[in-house]
Amino acid sequence: MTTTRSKIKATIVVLLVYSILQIGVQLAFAQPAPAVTKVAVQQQVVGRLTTTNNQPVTVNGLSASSGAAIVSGATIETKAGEFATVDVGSLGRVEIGENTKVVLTFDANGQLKAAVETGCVNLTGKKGTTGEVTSPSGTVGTINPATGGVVTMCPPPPGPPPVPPGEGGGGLFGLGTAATVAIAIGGGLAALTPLFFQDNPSPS
Amino acid sequence: MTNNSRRIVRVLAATAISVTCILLMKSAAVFGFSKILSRYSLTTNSLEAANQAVKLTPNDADAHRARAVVLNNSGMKEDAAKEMERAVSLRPRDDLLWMEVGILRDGYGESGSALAAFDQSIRCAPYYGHPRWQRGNLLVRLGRYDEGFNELRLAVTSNRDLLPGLIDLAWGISRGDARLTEQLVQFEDNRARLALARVFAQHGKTAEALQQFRKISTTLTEDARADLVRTMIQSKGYAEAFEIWNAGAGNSNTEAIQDGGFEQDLILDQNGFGWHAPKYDNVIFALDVNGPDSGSRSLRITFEGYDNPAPVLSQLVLVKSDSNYRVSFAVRTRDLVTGGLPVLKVIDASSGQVLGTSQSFHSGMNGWTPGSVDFKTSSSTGAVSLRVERNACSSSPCPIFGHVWLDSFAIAEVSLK
Repeated sequence: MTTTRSKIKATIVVLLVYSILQIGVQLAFAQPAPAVTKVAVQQQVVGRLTTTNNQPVTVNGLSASSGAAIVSGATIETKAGEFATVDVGSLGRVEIGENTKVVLTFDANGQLKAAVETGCVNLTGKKGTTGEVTSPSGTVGTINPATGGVVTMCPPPPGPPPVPPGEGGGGLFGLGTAATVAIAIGGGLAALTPLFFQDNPSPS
Repeated sequence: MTNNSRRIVRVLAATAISVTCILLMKSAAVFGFSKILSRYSLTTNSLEAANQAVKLTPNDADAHRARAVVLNNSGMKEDAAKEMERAVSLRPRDDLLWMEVGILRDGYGESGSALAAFDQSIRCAPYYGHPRWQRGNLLVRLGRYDEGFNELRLAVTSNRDLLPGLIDLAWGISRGDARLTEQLVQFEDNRARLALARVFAQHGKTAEALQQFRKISTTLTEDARADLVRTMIQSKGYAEAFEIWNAGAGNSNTEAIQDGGFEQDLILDQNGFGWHAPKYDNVIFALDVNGPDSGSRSLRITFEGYDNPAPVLSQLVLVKSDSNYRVSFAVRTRDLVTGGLPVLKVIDASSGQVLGTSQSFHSGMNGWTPGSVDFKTSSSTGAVSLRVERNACSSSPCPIFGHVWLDSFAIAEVSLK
């Protein structure tokens, strides 16, 4: 009996020592946190990009999606079906419609400007912001910093509006007849796919 | 076991299998239909469809994700974040879902919890670039530039496709300061040098672009070199562009006019400082070995009804500012018929101003005739464009027929008389 207990104790001790050693080894192998390099950069206003469905749009000729930092002077381009919003913190925000090219400039002094080359924007300036929307033919509108406000160049470009619950106009789950038919056809085709594509498509 | 018992067991087994199959089929149908509804809701931004998808498969993270996206698109950002949290609770090791939670939290101003979500995303996928990219962007927006760019650099280390984005953001944050941009980017390999050179050149910092180019230790591809030269020329960094062009394979000629005697193979579509000729169906170029003015060949241009005022031949040539130059050449013609005769024009590459024009190449030049253009550069001139183009016609259409031979182009600085 005593021997069995001793064996159990010894096993536990061995396992404990092994576990502690493991932790030590793991820590030794852990990658050190990279040193953060200090570079003197002047504090400035930086906007935040949000895109519909997280689909990328073009910022300064490069693809960018929701969460991207937008610096003053950025050129933002959208294609058909692409919508974006740039939130410029305390200054306001700029909603950008599809097929639009716009240059955004802003600073800590409350200036927020959207220079539209093509397309539609909706600039909302908060109180204290001097907002301006321009087009190639001149100034479209300005915002009085005393009151704040909105300047719209062509109608606001919202994404497809949500269908309010209970107003779906019939069909499955109130989605509407057309949507129900589309879903039914899609589902039917998906179900019938194995009947039409019975060959093994993978390369031999 | 009696026959009856066996039969009962068989029937029970068959029933159980059938019921199981029916249940599995129903489950698969419900799951599939939920997927269709989720996709439909994302395509049409239909909250009703997203709700039904969630109702059909409450334990499917994708259904919750679709609902979160629709809620976010409808402006219900906080609800969207909560829905995405539900999705990630069903699939807690999914780095993309954690990243989307972070993006949504960030979207309604919850920076602290957004950073926590990005941290979790990074823990789930420590070798992926995108979670770090998102975290870095958020830190930059929060004004924590050192941390932010550190994170962005780690993202680029994981995914080199993000390098142009890093350089672009560094350029913007540094407000066009090339040195600070380089400090923020920190990458010092050839790919980063080329990308930095391209960005600097695009923004007119051609000297800084050249510095980056000089630090590149491998041979550039011809496409990359041509692209950089083109960008430099567009930014009017002619001397810098020439150095890059001249460093390319086969461009060892340091004379001011490249192949002025047309002795080399005829390449008329090159970018940079050689001869350049747009392609036209009714203008034919050929090297002619018969009776050149100098060397062994001359250039023959055959016009077959060309009716266009645009230059047919051009070359960019480096010059010094505030200096006097003479371009000399030899020309001969045959059977030239037109209302708008060709000439050689010297044009300031920066301003587009015509600095000098030769005598017209008329039909009487049957033997080699020396031609020249004297011009003075301005304080801002760095390069001139030599262009063979036609004088304006008095009527339209105005085609040109016949042959023009050119040879012995040279440029020399001349002193003021």
